[in-house]
Amino acid sequence: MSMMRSGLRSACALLRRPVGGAAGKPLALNKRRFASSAHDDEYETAKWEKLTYLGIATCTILSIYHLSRGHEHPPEPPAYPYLHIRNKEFPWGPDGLFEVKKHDH
Amino acid sequence: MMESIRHSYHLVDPSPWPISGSLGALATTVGGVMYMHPFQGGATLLSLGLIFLLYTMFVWWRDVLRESTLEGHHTKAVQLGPRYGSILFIVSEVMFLFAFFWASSHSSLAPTVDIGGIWPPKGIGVLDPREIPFLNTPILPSSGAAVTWAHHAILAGKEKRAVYALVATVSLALVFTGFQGMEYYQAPSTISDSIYGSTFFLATGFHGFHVIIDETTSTPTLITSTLRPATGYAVLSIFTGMAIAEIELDAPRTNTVWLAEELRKEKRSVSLA
Repeated sequence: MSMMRSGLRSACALLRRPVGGAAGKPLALNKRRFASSAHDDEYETAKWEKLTYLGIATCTILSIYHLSRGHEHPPEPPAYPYLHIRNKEFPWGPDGLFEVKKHDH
Repeated sequence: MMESIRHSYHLVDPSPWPISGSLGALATTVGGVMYMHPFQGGATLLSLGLIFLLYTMFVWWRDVLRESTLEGHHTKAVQLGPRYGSILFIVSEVMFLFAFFWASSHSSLAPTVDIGGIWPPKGIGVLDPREIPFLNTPILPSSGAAVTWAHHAILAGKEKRAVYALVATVSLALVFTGFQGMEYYQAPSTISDSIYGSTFFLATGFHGFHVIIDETTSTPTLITSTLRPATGYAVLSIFTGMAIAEIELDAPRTNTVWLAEELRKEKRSVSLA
């Protein structure tokens, strides 16, 4: 077990060793580390702020358009056996969530 | 004590919260099952379990904040932990949703006789993709843009901008779930309507649940950042550690899942017409 561990450790050390990097400069420094930023954050902040405003404007216009149109109620389908499946009663009563309420209770 | 530490890892102190969280989770699941099958006291046990879980979350995260601000344990090495955790969570969620898409494709490519041999099954009203889906589709990428703005603002040290950006992110997520709730309420079919309803509402419902969890975890971050800037900055930096993985992996992913969902709707309404 300990042999395996030391073997793994030396393998990791080998991987970490600077290969082909500039003299005395570890390669890891030049690389992008995982999720930390490699960009100019000032510039990126401003860019994404503008993109967010653009998105909000688009969504607002679409929402107003959608809400002003209203919606239609589809006709009730025939009672096919695969529709409105009930194997046991819900703890809160006969009507399912997000359903048109049919029972007065 | 501090002098003897020669590594960058945080060796945590003994804490009662793991066991109290486990007990809360046990009471919640047992209570939930008891509530669904009408056992006596099911609702009470479920509520107690949820309260216990919420209490544990509060006190545990309070401890994490103290370990971060007062004790300074959140080194670069420690921050990697939640980041890997977020990545693993997202990967597991991708696989989870992949299974739902599989179930839907399996049922739609060769519809069984039991649902009339056609897809969508006869009598199922299909949502119009040009209505709420068309509206919700740009809302998610906008929320993704806002959270990316927050991410860069935190890295650039602009705490105020970061808070504004997170407010925009959470607001857009709230608008999304609001429209989603409206769509569910107006939808001509429900989860109890054939395999179509089961797969559709399970997949979109879990996606909505994910967005709601994002909202509920970001809101305390925002409130703390606004009310107590010193603690707030720590919360923001913890949030960055965990959220960066989520931002970079999740925003595009949820959007992809959502777009795939829209395409499925589009396909269905075409096949219906």
